[in-house]
Amino acid sequence: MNENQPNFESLRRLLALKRHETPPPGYFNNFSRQVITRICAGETGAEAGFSGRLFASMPWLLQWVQSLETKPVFAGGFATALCALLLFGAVIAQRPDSVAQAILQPAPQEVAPLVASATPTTMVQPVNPMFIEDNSTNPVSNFASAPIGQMPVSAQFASFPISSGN
Amino acid sequence: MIMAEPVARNDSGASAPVDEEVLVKRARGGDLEAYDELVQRYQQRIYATVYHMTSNHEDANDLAQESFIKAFQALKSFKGGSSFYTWLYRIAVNKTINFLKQRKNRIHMSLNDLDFNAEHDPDLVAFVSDKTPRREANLNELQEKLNTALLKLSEQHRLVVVLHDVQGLSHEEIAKVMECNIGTVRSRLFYARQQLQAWLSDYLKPT
Repeated sequence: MNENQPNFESLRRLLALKRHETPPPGYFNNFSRQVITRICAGETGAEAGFSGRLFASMPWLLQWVQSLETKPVFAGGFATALCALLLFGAVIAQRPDSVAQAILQPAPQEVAPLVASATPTTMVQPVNPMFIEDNSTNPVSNFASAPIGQMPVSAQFASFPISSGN
Repeated sequence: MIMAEPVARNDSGASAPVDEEVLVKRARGGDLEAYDELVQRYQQRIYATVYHMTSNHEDANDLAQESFIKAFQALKSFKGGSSFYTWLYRIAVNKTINFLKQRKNRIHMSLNDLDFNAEHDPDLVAFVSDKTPRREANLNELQEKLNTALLKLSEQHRLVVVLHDVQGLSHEEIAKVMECNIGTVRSRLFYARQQLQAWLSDYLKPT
């Protein structure tokens, strides 16, 4: 039995060498003072105050943060997702301009029929055709340029059918 | 042969002037003097454990200090289910293992000097003069080879060797610190020793 068991006695004696590895003389004289100083200075005090309470109330958050620290794949995946999100945000941020142009250009053709079907008493009254350019893209100009005589004078219920494209 | 003391004893070897439980209670109430006393009691062992795991003095210094700071901040969560020392050890060990995982493959050694007693340790003198085939080997070379071999082990296997063969903790104490059963500790220790023996065979075989 003993012959089959490896004899680790030599190894254990060699490992005793590790106990002779000691820090520089006087190292431990200031060690506890440094620890207490760091505690007093609140080096991690703010962290403990806020994040300590945060982690205490949400243990899953602590596990998640620890996963970020210890699992490079997880951290890489998270960073990739974050970058993708930022990229998506940047693309979206640029889109409104093009969307606005796309909306503005077809607007005159699309708005005109809407206006035609409306009953414009209240809309016409404040509009002074004198101040509206004919080539304006403002849909009101098309409406206002209509002959005054064709405009009804009585107030009616106005309905604006809106196409699905808008 | 130097043996580490049982877990519950003071670093200085003297009996505790103030009961540990009292100190913990005072420290939990924010008494920094009491906590300073606790730090002084356990600083050497915590530092030594972290140092033997990292083979780097600067890293060990940072990690040991951070372990004590973290322990102070977490004192309110200490229920007293285990001894304060075991609990503190667990914090230091977990912190060190996390650090080592982050630093994987980027570890460099910064070894402490051997103390004066190493040259007079009969076991070690025998290694250099009698039992080592490479007779030119000196203690510093042995120290470097030994630390290199230890760093090849996984964190869990290295920890068992450090706690048992270097720090002198029992299997039961290691199981408490590592939160695993004693069988796991024994099997890890056996495997780790086998690995070390193979890697250090040139320095262990008798002539």
